[in-house]
Amino acid sequence: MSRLGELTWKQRLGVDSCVRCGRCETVCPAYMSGSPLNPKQIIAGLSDQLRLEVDRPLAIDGGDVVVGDGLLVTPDALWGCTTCMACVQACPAFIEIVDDIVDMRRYLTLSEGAPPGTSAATFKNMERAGNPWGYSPDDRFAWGADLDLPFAERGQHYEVLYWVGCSAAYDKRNQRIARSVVRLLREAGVRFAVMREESCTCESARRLGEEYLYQTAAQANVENLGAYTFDRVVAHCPHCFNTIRNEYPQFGGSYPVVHHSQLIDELVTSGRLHPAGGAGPRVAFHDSCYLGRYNGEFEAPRATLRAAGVDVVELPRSRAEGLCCGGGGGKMWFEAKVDKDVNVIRMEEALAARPDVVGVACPFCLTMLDSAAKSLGVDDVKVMDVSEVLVQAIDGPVSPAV
Amino acid sequence: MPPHDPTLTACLQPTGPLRPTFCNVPEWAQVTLYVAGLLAIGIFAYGIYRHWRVWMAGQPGAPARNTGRWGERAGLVARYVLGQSKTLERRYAGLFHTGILWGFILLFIGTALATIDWDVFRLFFATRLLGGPFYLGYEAVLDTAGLVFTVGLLLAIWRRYVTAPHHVLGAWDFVIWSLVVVNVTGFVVEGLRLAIAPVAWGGYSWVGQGLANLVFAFGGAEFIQGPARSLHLWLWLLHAAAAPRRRWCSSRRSRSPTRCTWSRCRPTPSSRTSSPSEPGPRSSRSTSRTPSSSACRGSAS
Repeated sequence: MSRLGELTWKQRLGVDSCVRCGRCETVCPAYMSGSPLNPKQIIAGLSDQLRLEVDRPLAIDGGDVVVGDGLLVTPDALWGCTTCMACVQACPAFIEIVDDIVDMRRYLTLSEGAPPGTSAATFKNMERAGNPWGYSPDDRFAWGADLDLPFAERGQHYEVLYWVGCSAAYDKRNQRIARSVVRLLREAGVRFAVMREESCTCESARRLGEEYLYQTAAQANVENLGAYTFDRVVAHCPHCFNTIRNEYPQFGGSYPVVHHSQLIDELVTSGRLHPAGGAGPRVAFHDSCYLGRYNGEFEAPRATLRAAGVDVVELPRSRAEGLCCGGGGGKMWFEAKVDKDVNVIRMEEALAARPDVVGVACPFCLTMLDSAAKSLGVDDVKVMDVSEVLVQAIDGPVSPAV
Repeated sequence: MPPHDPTLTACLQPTGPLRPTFCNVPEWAQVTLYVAGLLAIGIFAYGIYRHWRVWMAGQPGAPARNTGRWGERAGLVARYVLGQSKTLERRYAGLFHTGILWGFILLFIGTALATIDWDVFRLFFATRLLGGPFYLGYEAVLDTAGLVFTVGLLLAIWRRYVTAPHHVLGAWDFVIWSLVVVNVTGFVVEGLRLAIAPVAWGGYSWVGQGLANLVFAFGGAEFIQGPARSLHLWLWLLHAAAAPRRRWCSSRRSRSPTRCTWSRCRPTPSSRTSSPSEPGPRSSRSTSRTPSSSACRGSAS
């Protein structure tokens, strides 16, 4: 979307409803970090523009182009968004600000051919190698070479298909999440499999406006998933989880999808997992936007931590008001200079709670907060996925991939 | 009270509680009210029509979540519109917002009932709606609603112009002040009316009666039957004339969006030193925000 004539009546109704209360501005992580994005400015600016254009025959010219350098909405502002949904959650007029921003990003990426920073290279990697880094697809399951991973076979029935996602497949640190999940699935005796054809969902690409790449990937993934028989998909990555759960039905792939914390919570409740209990570490839990605000799941990761005997510490901004790690909306894949990075703001907030561990339920959050810890020079507080905390309660520290 | 004065006969309630319509209001002012009222309805309808055109110029199609499920969506309206549960997520703002909303809703119903009483029941059925115990309850509820409304407005003004956090800055808006004028003149007019033509059941209009008692305490009979009556009439006219209005956009003289309400508050190009391509130091960013906010306040004239 680059002209207001391209908005649907619903989007126009939303933009026109802006009362300029500024709640979006107070919760926006990009604005906090000093990026040029101010959601209030975008929506209020569009709203003024709508009223200026209403007496013109929009059907002919579609209105002025409003997206571009020096125009009403600048690319720098649009690329600041982490799509964390905090603004939409805060908006008393229920304006779908994130959808509007992604709509305008699509214009920049697809029509103008101007994706941000180095993300064009990331798109190429996703397209060629099926992961954002461009590693070999053959190495996708190298993290489990010593685990004798069960690969899904046609005609077999599985309780759970474990969708690993690129981050835990290739990122050395995050591979330990996948190893923890496998450990827990085995401990509980769940009949599961991983899918050899698994490839990036390209969710980041979609949030960065690369709709074509996303749709191609979605079709391929849905086709591959359709070859196997399973009751549910489990994903530990909220971005994969959200995509498969809420977006794949449009491509004909409807499956029950659960986040690993939901499955673990269920396994503990039904008695299939027996954590030893005892005193765990003090864990400050950081909510993932795509699990929490997007999908309304706030309890399961906390329950997972409690199952590990953990004393869960709530951060000042948590649950529906949780602050983003700064890694959503494709922000993992390019750098933009700001006053203070979101992950550092969030990590400082978490450290103020004096935890032993900062608990997360998303590999992007883990990477972002881990790197914030490094830049703050903190080494006595670890950032861990909730599944790792639970495995540690059962076995001691999770061994890295060989 | 001189009984021969026709404008004062409307104040009399000889048969018990009955809403005194157009008390101390001469015919020319009554005609003015109806003409101005029709004009205001016309302007209001045109305003709604313009918004309607803004929406309908859009592409067709709405997300599935915005269609069907009428029962569930009606529940959401009850929760978020009537119950204001979203604005109440912030306590201070939510509280005054809810006060203003419900004060407004009750006063709107009250005004509508007054019109129905005078122009429908009286004209077409030769009877009155606002009489007896129902009228007394009506007075008590509306005085309370008006007070809640006024307190809500004052809290809102305090926040917008005194504590003034950055994010609430935006357009200078005439609406909030005109609502204060409507409420305050409403009470003063009621108080003066109860001073000019006291009734035994004035206590039901408890805010107005309080003001009437002040008039009794500080003004003699001469003041009440002289200046107080003129003041009553002029404030009554102001009460009607102050009905709120809102500018469509801060200026329609220019097509440039920078002339509009919010965009005016954007930092000027020279102060926008901190784009991500050329990051400015932190101090330059904070200075780039401050002048823009003072510019917003400066745009009040």
